[in-house]
Amino acid sequence: MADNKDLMGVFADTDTAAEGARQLKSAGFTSDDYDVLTGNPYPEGAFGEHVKKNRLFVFALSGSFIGFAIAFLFTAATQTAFPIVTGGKPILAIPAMIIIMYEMTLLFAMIFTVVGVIFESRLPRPGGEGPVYDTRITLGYIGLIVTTTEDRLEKAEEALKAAGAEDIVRESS
Amino acid sequence: MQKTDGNEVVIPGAPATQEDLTQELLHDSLQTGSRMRKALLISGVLSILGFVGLIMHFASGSSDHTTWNFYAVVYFYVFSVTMGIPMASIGLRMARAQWRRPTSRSAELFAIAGPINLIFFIPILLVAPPIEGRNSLWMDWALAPWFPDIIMMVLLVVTGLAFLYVSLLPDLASVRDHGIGRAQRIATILSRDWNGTKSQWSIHKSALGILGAFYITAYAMTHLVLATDFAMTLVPGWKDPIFPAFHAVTGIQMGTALLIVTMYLLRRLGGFGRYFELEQFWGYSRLLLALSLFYFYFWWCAFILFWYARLPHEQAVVALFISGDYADPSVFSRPQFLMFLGAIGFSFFLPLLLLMWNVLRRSIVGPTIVGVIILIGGFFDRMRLYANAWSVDQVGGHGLEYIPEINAPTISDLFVMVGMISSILFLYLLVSRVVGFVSLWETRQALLLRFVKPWGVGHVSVVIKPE
Repeated sequence: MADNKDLMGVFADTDTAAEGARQLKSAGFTSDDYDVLTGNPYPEGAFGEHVKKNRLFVFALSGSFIGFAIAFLFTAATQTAFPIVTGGKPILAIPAMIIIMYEMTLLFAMIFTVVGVIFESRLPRPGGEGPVYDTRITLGYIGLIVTTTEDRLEKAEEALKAAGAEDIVRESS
Repeated sequence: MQKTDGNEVVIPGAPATQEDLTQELLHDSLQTGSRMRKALLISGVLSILGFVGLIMHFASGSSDHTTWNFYAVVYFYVFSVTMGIPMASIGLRMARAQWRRPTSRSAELFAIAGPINLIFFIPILLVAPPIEGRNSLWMDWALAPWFPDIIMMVLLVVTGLAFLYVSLLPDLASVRDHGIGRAQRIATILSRDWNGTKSQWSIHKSALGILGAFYITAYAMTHLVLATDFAMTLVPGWKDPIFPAFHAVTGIQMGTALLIVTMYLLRRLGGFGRYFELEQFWGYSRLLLALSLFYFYFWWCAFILFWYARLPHEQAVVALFISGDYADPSVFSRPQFLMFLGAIGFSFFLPLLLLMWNVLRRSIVGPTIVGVIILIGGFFDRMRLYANAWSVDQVGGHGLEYIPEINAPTISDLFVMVGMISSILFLYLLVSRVVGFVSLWETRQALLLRFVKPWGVGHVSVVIKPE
């Protein structure tokens, strides 16, 4: 929602961050209300947060279909444009075309995957600033970001402080 | 120190805390000392030799491909080694081998060799004889072989770089947040808005899986296409479906060997002893033993068919790549046989004889020595294949009619070899100044997932597998 604000509790270790998540739930926040920032991957759901399934495979699949189609059309078009019968084989010799189709399928799938990583990870984030951030995250600290309405921010801050957050970072208004 | 149920124990071989890890990998290892400056300067200057060698080669003519035989040897040797290293890392990552975590970065950084391989591949395309009159994969297609070969090379190189970039993203964010100077500026541009959200990590994990799978498939196919177009089809009568697989496997073998040697050098010269421990050398030595057995297996499978069949064109292929010209009564004066001895001796027999002993396998020096031996054997092997195949000037026919003389290497070949290796080393060291030789996020995760627990009278390592 447009009037939602971000607030982040910075935790020094896993145990206190997990406690922070528990405190947030006790305070009435759901797993959709907060996200976790970490400097290294944790098992999914380690802090009770909701992790949306990513759609990266859609990019890879779309790329592979496009690459396959382009390769098929390209090889078929060039071979029919310059028809040379080799060894009694058909003009459109599938075994020889397979290699080109394989290459192009993989090439486009790879390019689309990279585009997918950039787009899905919001690198860069369109429309300006991302969520609140603290550079201690890349030092091994854990950030719990609560996204909620302004009137519930106090409640979230209390929950995070009660769990032992070292610091509270607010979104600059 | 790591707390485990109230017992405070030190994890052997790893820095004590997350902060120490950050200090060592993010600050200390990114400092460019005088030794690193010298290495960068020397490798940078020597890189120029590669291009000088290339110009000298073209100046001496490009119409006769047989004079480029040692250029092909050098090219396919460097290509096989450098593009094979990321395979070792990607394969182990997919197998969820926890011990490989500190070594992933030093292996994956070799993907940076891709652009150099691509540049030096262009002369191969220009000089290789056309496919008319030769057996080929391409059914006389007008765009072959340059179009499919260049697409394949671009695919492999770009996939390697994409995999490297995705793998680097979290560490680039660390350098963005805590680095200094030029490294920080570069990391800020490359890491963009990486914050480490759960969805970003989820995509990161999927992307490494998908791109890793693409690299493996591209690697296998590139070896198929290149080994067929630039070795097999140059020799009339050489029809060997096992050869591309042999080519790909020996590339991984040589890549693993170079990775072990790199780990040893980083341990000795770079102060990375904490990260490249006995566990890593032991792990890779077992892989190296398996790959050395594969060397023999693939070679034998191909050889036995030719040896049993004994048709004239098959005997010629055996003579070209293994025994040398039967007209020469002394086998030891046949260069082909000496190349073969060097290849199989250094790539299979010596590694097997050394690595079969656990005491050697489970050491740091043992696998390193075997790594050096395999790198020598790999060079003999590529020389056996490419110096001979590129010396054949006969086009067409059912079989090789005579065993050709091998053109000796020239100074320009030496320049190309020194230049190619130096330019890859230069790029490798240069990129390491931004992201280091050891992955911060992977090592940090390993630290988080590994505990040492009291067990009996000693301690055991307990590794948590998150999935």
